Order: sequence, then structure tokens, then C-alpha cells
Amino acid sequence: MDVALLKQSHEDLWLHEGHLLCLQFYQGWVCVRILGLEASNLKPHVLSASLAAGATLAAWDEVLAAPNVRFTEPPQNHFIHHFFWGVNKPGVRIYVQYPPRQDRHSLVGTPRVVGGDVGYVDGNMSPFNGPFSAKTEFFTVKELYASFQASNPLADAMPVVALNFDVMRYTYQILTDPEEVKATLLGKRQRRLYTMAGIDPHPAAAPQWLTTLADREIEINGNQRKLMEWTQKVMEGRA
Amino acid sequence: MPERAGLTPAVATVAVAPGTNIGTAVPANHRRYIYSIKTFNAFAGANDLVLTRTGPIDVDTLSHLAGGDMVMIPDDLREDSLPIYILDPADQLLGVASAGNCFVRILFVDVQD
Repeated sequence: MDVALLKQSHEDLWLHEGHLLCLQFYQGWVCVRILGLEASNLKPHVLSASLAAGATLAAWDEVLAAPNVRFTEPPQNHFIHHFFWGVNKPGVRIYVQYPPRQDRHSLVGTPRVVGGDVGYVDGNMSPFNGPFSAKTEFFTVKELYASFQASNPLADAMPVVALNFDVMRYTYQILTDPEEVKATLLGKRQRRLYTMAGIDPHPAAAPQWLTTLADREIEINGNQRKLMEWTQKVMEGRA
Repeated sequence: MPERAGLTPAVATVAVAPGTNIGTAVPANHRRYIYSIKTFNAFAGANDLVLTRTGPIDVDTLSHLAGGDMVMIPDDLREDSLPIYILDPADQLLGVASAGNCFVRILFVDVQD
């Protein structure tokens, strides 16, 4: 707890109008300029009314507001959601993924196991009322949302296991000028970088609607290239 | 410091030998910090409550001089209170009353450290 209090506040990590954000997908990077923001929250989201000793949730929890309506998923293409979360029980282990089964926080080659000692955040790391761990940072776009599992490693049931989400919703503009994208990715302009899902085996694939908008044909040195594929080479220092 | 959100209660009616477990066994890789114990002597007379943990290893003896006596440690559980008993992984807290039943309640936190 004392260590957690020394961490940077998640509120310092919100983006503001004009900030640049680069999201890494399987296909490559998408760079956007934040145009507007609106704060929101979800507190509490109850994962389990009583999580039995040694038990996990029966299914991944998609933080539903209604069937197929998820709090962590932007309702429309022109929003990005950015959120952090904490959990109210110090000992409960929370595992997260971008469905279908694109884990975050894996450590070894085999998929991490819900209930195991790898790849979770507990209430000691990210308490319900903060300070939230930077590990809980999530960016989501339409069709790419977060889902949660919980595990009780203790010998007694945990009543009311709940999450507290602090959320910022952004509107944005996709950068498509290659020089602007390159300058942004290489850090010549202040920007935030974020890898969607995990890096093992690879980041999450961008939804079709996003690649249609962002993965445009561009001309580099007289050659036709796909923008997102080209951003990979930029980050590798080969473009 | 007791973590309020992690505090777990356990209650038991502790009988004479061989006694009665109070709470579950401490999970692997955890220690159990017990922050509070309250007892009520349900026997009409003097009655000692002996607490042990797996071994058995003596933890404490709480004396009741008469029926209806209560023991509450600490008097006032505060945010900066220290644990009064600490159990190791797989330990089980066992109560044994010397003369008759005691009602016991503890508050504890299981922590990986």
C-alpha cells in the first residue's frame, strides 16, 4: 500500500485535446489526435456477489450494461475509451483479456491460467479507490473491448467482489500523412504509445472498420505502401 | 494496519477437548493476521480458552472467571492496530475450552507476504 501511494496518479495519464495517441495493432500502428474528451466512471461493477473459496467466475465478465452493450467498448467508431480500474478485495486476483482470448500480462510461452500466480492484478496492487496501478490502463475501440475474470485464492468466500472504473472517452482524428505519422511514432512530437492486448504472440488485430480508415495506400519514395504496415518499419528504424 | 476491505470474520462455538477449529486453514503462500478476538463464556463458571495453531503450538490462553464473562482484544480496533496473532501457511487456529462452551469471533486478513 505504501509503495502504491508513491506511484504516479492515473489522472496524470489522461490525454487532452490536441494530444497524440498511437495504438499498436497486429497490422501496425494507428496514430490519432485527440479532439475532445469527457470523463465518466463505473462504480461499482460487481463481478460476484460471493466468490467462493478457491473459485473463479463461471465466465469472463464483459462489463455489460445490457446484452451486447459493454461499458468498456465505445458505442460508436468515433470514440476511444481509456480507463483504469481498481478492485475492492485486497486478495482477489483479476485477469484481463481482449476477447477472444487475447491475454494481457502473460509471462511464459503457454497461455496464463486463470487462478494461477502469473498475470493478474489484485486489490493490493490496484485498490478500489486508488491509486490505480498503471497495469490496469486500457484503451479500447469499437469491437475491441476488455473482459475480466476473478479468482479467489483464499480459504474463505469473498462477498461482493467489485471493480471501480475511471473512464475517459475521447473523440479523435486519424493521422494519415506519412511524415506526420513518422514524426509522431519516432517521438519527435509528444505522444503516447499503447499496445493493444498483449505482445505475445502479437497485438490484437485492428477491427475491419478501423483498418478501412487507417490502413490507407500511401506513396513513399514513389512506391505504393500500406500505411499501417509501413508504421511497423518506421518503428523498426527501417523506413 | 488491517485492510478493512480484506477483513474476514470467523465465528465458532468452542467446546472442551478436543476443541473446535476457529476459521479455515490458512491458504498456501499466505499468512493470517488476526486483528481482533471476542469471546463469551457460555459456561456457568470459570472457563479458560486455550488457543493453539497447527503443531499444536500454543498461541494464547484467555481466562473467564465466571459465566457470561467476555474478553475482547483489542478494546478498540483502530486503523493502525497491529495484529494480535499471526498464523503461517496451512495453520489452523484451534480453540479448546477447559470447562464448557465459549462463543468466539475473530477478524482476520490473509495476506501474501
